[in-house]
Amino acid sequence: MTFDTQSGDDRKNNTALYYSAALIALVLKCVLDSVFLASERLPVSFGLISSSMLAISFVAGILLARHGQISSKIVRHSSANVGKIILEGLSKIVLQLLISFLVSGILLLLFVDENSPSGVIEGTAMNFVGAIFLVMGVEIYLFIYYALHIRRNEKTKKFTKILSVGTIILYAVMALIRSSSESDNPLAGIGVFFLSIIFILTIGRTPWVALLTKKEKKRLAWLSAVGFFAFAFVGTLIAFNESEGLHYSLEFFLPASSGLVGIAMLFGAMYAARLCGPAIMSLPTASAVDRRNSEVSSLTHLNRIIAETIDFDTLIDNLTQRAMDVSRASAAWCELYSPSGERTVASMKFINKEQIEWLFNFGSFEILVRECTAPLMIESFDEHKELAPIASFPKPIARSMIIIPLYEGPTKIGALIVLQLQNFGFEIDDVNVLSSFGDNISIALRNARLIRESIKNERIQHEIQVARQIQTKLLPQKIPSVCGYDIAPFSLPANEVGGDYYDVITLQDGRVAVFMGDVSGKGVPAAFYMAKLKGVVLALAREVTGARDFLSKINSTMYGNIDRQTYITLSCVILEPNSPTISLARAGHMPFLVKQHGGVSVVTPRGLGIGLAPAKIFDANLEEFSLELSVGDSCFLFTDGLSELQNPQAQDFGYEPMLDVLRSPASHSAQSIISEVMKSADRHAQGHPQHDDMTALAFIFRGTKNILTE
Amino acid sequence: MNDLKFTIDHQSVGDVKLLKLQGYLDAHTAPHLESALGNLIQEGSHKIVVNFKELDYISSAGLGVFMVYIEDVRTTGGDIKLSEMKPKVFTVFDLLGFPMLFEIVEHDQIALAKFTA
Repeated sequence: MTFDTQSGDDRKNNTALYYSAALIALVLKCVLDSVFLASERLPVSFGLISSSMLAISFVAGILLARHGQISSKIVRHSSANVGKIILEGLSKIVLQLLISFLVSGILLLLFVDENSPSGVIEGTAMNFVGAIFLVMGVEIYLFIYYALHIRRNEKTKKFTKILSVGTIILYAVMALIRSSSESDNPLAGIGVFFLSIIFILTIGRTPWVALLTKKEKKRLAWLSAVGFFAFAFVGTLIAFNESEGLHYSLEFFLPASSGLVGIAMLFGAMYAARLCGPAIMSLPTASAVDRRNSEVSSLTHLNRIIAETIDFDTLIDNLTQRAMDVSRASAAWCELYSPSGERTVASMKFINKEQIEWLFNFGSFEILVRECTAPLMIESFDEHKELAPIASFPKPIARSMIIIPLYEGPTKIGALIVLQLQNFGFEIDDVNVLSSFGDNISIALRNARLIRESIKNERIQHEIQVARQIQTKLLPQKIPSVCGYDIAPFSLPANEVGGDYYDVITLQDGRVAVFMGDVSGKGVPAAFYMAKLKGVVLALAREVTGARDFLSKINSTMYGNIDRQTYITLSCVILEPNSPTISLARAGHMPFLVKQHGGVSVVTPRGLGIGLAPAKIFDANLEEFSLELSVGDSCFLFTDGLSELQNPQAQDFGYEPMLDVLRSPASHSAQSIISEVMKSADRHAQGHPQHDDMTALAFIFRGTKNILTE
Repeated sequence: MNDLKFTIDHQSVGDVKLLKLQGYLDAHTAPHLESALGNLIQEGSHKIVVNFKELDYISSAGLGVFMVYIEDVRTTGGDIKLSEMKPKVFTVFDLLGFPMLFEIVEHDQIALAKFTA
């Protein structure tokens, strides 16, 4: 792997260093050569060796610098990117070659008259030309190395190694041959031929050519043609025309380097030729390929949009835009149908509501859209019997269109419509692509709906939880005991809290107030009022004188402080420790069920619900009853969630079953009354779900301290 | 909770508006009644009779709807009278003490007569 592990800054520093070193080497060489050219007294061999060393340093510096710059870019690229990168690289070196050739040409023409350097200026000019073309050679090698590397596979790796080693060997061989004989040896030619074969094999297939856009393919075609000729021409000049300034400059700069640069040019020409064929061959199908690529990327993009976008409106908007892009439509809109058949335009592009309505005013258009059950293309309005009138208008909105119906399961939930100004603006391919769009849109719509519902449900569930928590905190944790009485409560909230309330409050004078109540409504609002009520009850507990007084004061406090449509029903029983006397008052709540004098009865003192009327009317209509209990007598309070508990036949539980329990001799404790009532309620309900809170409280009089109870 | 049906039939007798309720009046359907009453009052009709003959069930939400408008209606000299309740429905109103706040009668005619008197 040739990943550069140095940091960017380090690399930049190194690159600068190498360039500087190369520049210094070049300058030194020019100076040195000038010195040797000017004076004839200095030893030639020394001059040659040191000059060559400097030349080599220069090349090495450039090589290291450029390699450093390029290696950071040698990463795995997708096939699509490979093409673009190679194309860029190729155009750079072809351009560089042309510029190098031009500059060198100018330098040679201006400063070099003969082939043997006789002056400092000539020498320096030839050095520059040599340097320029050696750099060119380095560039070509690096470009090919890079081009092979970014599409590396096992075969390429092997061949690249062989190639690199082979080139070095060949160069060494050629250098030796050059130095030993004047003419070229056929061995060199065979070596070059062998290398060429390996090179062609190394380049191998070029599948990335097919993935370029049409424009890029055209560019590659003429670039590789130009490149081939340029490399071939310059290469020939360098390698075979010994009398040519280029060849001689290179030899002057670094002996035997012309062979190396010549091979580089050869490789460059072969690479360009290798690309030219596929580039030209791919041109005829380029449009179709581009089309297909754009469809694929549209669908990929589409799927990503669907996966990432949760906001419904943005999603539909994006989808409509994409549909337009992929079918090259002039306008598009997406409409959705409600269960009742109402049509709403969810998004529109390059068309407005009035124009859409104008189209739908044509009965034929409306019918077409409404009854479309499968993707439908109207190729030409002019040739369509029913839609021709639309096309005959002076500025028609459309002359061809595609309708894609959107389905959720068996139900048609909307349609995607794309329009084109011209007749025959769409092809079958467009219908196919849009069909898959339509499928995706349907999925997106369903997802959006499910997410919306899920969020709504979550919110509802959360609210329910909050309400339940509030209610739980407001109900008494422990019932205070009252001497002579056995008290037992029961509470079973429904899933959605119903606002039931009960409490047992000790009053100032030791008496105890038992409350049973129900806030109208459900959920958090009801729980809120429960909390408010509890606060009021606790605050008033200090100063109330009796059941009626308590309820009256509660109403006075709360009337006007709660919503108009909300009210609270309350029942209140005041118990006195060791006393058989109880007082009852009822503010709109369920009646009391009382077991007394050997029988049971429904006791309903008159009273309005809390919050329905101001004190004057409320107080005037509020009764208080006083009852004298015997040992064993009991009282049962409850909310309508219990009395209205339904069985599968929609019959209410009613009061009778509860009265039965009170009547029964088995009811000897408050808890047993509760248990029996609940068992009875269970039997009644037969598993039918409970919709309201069920709350109840029972108490039994045990007798005063002096009398032993049973 | 299943959404049970609730409908309102509008009639006029002179300047009195008669609303015949049908079905179930609970938290889901109460808004329907609320907007119907609201519209009548906004139009200027303050004499309203609500007939309960075909109403099978009413919940606290339904009862609350009447409380929303009664004060406004009475300040303008009008009223909302309730008529022909089924026994079960009447019990609900009765326990709450509504007879002390609203005129609950047995037939529409009685209510209408009270308006003209």
